[in-house]
Amino acid sequence: MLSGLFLLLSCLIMAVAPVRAGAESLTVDLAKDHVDITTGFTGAELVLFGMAEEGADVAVVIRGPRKDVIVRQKGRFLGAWLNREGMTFEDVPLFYDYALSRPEDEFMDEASRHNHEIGLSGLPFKPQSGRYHKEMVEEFEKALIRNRQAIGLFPQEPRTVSFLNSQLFKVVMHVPANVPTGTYEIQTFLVKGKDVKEVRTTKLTVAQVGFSAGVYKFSHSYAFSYALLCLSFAVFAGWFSNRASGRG
Amino acid sequence: MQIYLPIAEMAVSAETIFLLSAFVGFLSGVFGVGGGFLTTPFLIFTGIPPAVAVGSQASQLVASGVSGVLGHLRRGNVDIKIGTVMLAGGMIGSFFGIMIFKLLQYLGQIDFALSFLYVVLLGSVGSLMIVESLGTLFKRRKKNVRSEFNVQRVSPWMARLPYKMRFPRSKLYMSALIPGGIGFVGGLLTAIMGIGGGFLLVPAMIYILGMPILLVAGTSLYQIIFVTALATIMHAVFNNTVDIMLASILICGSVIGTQIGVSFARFIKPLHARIILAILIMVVCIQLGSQLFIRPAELFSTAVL
Repeated sequence: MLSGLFLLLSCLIMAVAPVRAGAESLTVDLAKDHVDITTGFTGAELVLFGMAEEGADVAVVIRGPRKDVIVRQKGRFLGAWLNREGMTFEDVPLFYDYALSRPEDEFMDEASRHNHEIGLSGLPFKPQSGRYHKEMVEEFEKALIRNRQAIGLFPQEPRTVSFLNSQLFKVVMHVPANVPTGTYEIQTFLVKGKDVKEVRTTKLTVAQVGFSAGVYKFSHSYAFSYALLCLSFAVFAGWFSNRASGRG
Repeated sequence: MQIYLPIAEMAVSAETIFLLSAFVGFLSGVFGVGGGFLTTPFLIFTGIPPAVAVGSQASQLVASGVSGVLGHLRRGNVDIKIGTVMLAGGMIGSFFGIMIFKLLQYLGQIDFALSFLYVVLLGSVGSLMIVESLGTLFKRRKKNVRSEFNVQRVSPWMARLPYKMRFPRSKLYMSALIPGGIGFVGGLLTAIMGIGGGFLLVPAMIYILGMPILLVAGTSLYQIIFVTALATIMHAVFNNTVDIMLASILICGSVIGTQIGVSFARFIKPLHARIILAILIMVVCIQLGSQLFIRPAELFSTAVL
């Protein structure tokens, strides 16, 4: 509802003061620049509005915080399946999603998409050490993408940038409940033909708030008191249970 | 209802976890077992990281241990001295267990190691129970009274161990290393597998220590409480893997389930209860075991470092 209001407002502003093409060919804003993880959090919608020069294409890329990840491959050992091989990739975005204003194979060309890290195949995955075969790295990269897709942190396919009129566009993305916390970077590209004309970068904060943030902070800063708190609850519950059952 | 676990940093279905722990609590009420061997694998199966599952489950074990031991204490069925010696071993064991857990995580073998340990433990305990219960079922009432005084002889190499101690309550004289060693193994299992280890401690106390049956249940619970409490503290302090939300749901579920189980236990014969429990243990064992040997659909897994 809020985003609807925002949309209406933007349309009004646009009607009153038409954008002068050339002066500012790309403007973007997030309906909400933070995702609050509360105890009842089940995922959130991200709504991004923007104005682009008429006739241009738009791509939006969202990246989560980067961390090293390890991909492990199971193999057979004495009949049982266990992890045999492992490959660590450096600085992998823990969340990635993207939206395009036209189908991926018609959008720019593959090389330019890769240059701007638009699309999963354009993500640069750097193995920690270079002693692997190229085929092996590719296999592990594919597995990494598949694993992240399976838990909803990488997209199966691009989302659409929908134009509400010739200039105003809107992108809706969804983050799942297991979304990693941290600072997210949202890049919006204004594309003409196969060249990127303008880039706008917006930040998004994903963090626990309220009760769950308090619990998280307390458990990390005062780990021992936190443990005692858990224990006293356990002891009380055990005593209560014994009382209630009359087992004494 | 989805609920966000602040430490696991993921949302889980609160009803599922609650029903599971209530069911396990029900089993505890009926059979008098802790039930960690069912809860921990299930939590891991729902996608909760093994470290958080084991750490949070440890605090649930404290609750069920306290609930069980109070009755035994009131009746005086706890040998505090031998329990304390076991406890000393258990504390050292759980310290090593946490280290081994961290090492296995580092090596990427924690899931395999957990499944493997569960299969071995559940398989051996389950099949022993089935054999024993069926034996009793077929020659019932031949000897249903067991002598309270255990005439079990300690094996010669055990008799030679140093640090001999007298345990008057159990009428035993033996090296402190024996109960200490049993406690050590129990502590290891608590820290690595998130189980109290009662199903291993109880037979060990009967057959290796030769303790009077009457004292075994209470004494094992006494030591389990402190070892699981220590494991909770260490998991919380060294690994930050105790999720109080998850632990609360587990504890509430098990408290309620236990009440129902205890009242239900009156309608079921102990022998039948043992057979059902043995079958249940074997089902979990076969389920976990088959996962180890069947080729998984996805050979690759990803972990954030």
